[in-house]
Amino acid sequence: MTLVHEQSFLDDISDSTLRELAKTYMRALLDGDRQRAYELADSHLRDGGSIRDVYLSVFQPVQYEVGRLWQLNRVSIAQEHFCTASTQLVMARLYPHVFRRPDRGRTMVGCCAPGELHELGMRMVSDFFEMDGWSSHYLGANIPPAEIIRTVCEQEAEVLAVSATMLYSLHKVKEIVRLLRNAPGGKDVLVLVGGHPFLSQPGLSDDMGADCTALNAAAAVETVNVMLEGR
Amino acid sequence: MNGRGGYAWFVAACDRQGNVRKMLVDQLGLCPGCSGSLHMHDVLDERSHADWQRMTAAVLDEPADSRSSSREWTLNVRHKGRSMPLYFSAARDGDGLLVAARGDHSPGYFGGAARQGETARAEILSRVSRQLVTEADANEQQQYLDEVSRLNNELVNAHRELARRHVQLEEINEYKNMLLGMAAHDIRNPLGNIRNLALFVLEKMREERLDPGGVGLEFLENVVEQSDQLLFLLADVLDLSAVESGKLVLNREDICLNQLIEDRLAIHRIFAGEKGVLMVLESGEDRIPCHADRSKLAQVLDNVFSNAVKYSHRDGRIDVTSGMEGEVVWFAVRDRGVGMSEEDQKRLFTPFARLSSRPTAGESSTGLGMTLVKRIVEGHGGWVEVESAPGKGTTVQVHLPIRAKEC
Repeated sequence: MTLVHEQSFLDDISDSTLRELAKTYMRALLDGDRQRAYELADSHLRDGGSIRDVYLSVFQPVQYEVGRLWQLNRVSIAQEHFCTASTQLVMARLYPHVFRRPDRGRTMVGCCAPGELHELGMRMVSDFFEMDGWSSHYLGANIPPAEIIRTVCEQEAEVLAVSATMLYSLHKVKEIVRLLRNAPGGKDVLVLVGGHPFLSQPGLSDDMGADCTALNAAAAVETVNVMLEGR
Repeated sequence: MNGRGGYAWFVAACDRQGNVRKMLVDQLGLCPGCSGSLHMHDVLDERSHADWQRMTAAVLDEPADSRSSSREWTLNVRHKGRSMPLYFSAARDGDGLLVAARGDHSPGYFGGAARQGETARAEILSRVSRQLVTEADANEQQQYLDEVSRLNNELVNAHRELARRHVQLEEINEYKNMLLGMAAHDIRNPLGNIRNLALFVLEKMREERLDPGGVGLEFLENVVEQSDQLLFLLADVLDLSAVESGKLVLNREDICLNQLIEDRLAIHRIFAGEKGVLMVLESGEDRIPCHADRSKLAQVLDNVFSNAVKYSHRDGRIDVTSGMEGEVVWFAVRDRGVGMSEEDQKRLFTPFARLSSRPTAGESSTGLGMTLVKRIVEGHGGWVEVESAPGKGTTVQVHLPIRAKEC
């Protein structure tokens, strides 16, 4: 599987309403109008739309598409950064839709490989766990590996999710998994890895010592739930 | 063998079809001992051939006079029998292409520190292509953008954590209100029994003239008085915990605000009279119809009136006015009592806040009255305004946008 597309990622969105929403949302971002982008997402939710759909069929494909346009030199690096930052802001404003009372009594810790700039994907994964009734602790990309492991142990997390987008981050992912496995109780923690390299390299998650990987945030939650039920 | 910045590099000049015209840098050793004709397909893993075509088309399909480049494509190359992902960039070079690739050297992969790698990349590319020098020049700007992104990430993470904690705190607050409500409810009934039994014994003792001159009667009067005070407090706590739990149920009906004011005032004039305080009602309207919860609005009036009496000096005066403006009905209660400092005014609506102003005749206060006033008024869509100055008195104005047609 590869993320390189000849056509717009937005054309892959099967639902026509969401496809149009994604297109107008991206247009607003490329026009530098982040308030309009927020209003589009918010209005979809107020009309009864699902927050999961907005994440998976708007935010994610728009991020991919902006990345593709950057690769093709059709948007500037500054525009790409602006789009990402704006979507992060929109997500933050939609948090009241995400954070509900946890009822599963399960905890996960999400983080990115240290130094990784691309945090949005793992934040989406953590939010999906939250929507599924998990208690999620998202640590970002600036927490040292030892601190990540300490949080996993302290929170008695059942899952550690680690994301890497750039190839040079992979050895850090491996280091985090190794540290976790050597920590007390760390062998029982289910490790989920994700990010671009894992999509294009089947078997890479095994190389990292992880238990599973997934195509997107919804699949990540589903995979983890199935694996935990099987234990 | 790595580039100066820690990255290993591969840079080649190709024609439009992908035939390598000149190998410029091969630190990765992708093509050791290459001689004769070489096509990029020989370097790349078969799975990446289609992506190679897409990347080069993105450059070559642009108009010839435009600056065009394509970057950061993850393509796999064949290296020592394994398939390895590398980052590829391409740029137009005359009638052909310049192709640059880098990897990293983490275990099993090529590697290097990201920042150093970017520097090396810029150096190599600036040597081989004026066009890609533009990218190298932009490198410093990109580092700033990256740093801004990191800062933004941290801010968003802090925001996320705050949102998560906010939800947790709301749950804890709800739980607290529930416990408080349950405790208050469970205390209220036995306390009511104690108060009634004490009152019964007290009245019996008075009737039968028992314990004349002793302290028994005084003690029993104290029991009844303190029980009453505790019951008032419990009633306020129960009301507040219900309101805070989002259980403020308003049974609205069309009522006459000035009639309700007169009814409640009649009761408070009794207490005011004990201090020699005059309560004067003036209304610019005969009738003020509004759509409100009668008992809740009575609670608001009771709290505001009793405060005005408590904080008035002996033989003082309280003015009660009311009226209508558009859809808004209002009433105001002005005393000329001890007044409040600015600090006290800020904390007036905080539950159990201890204010520096004290009632003038030692009257007791639950510390919840004005909190309830605000909650109930806001529950009706209205608002409360307070004007006060130490030594001059206090005016409380309640505005309610709930005018009805008639009453």
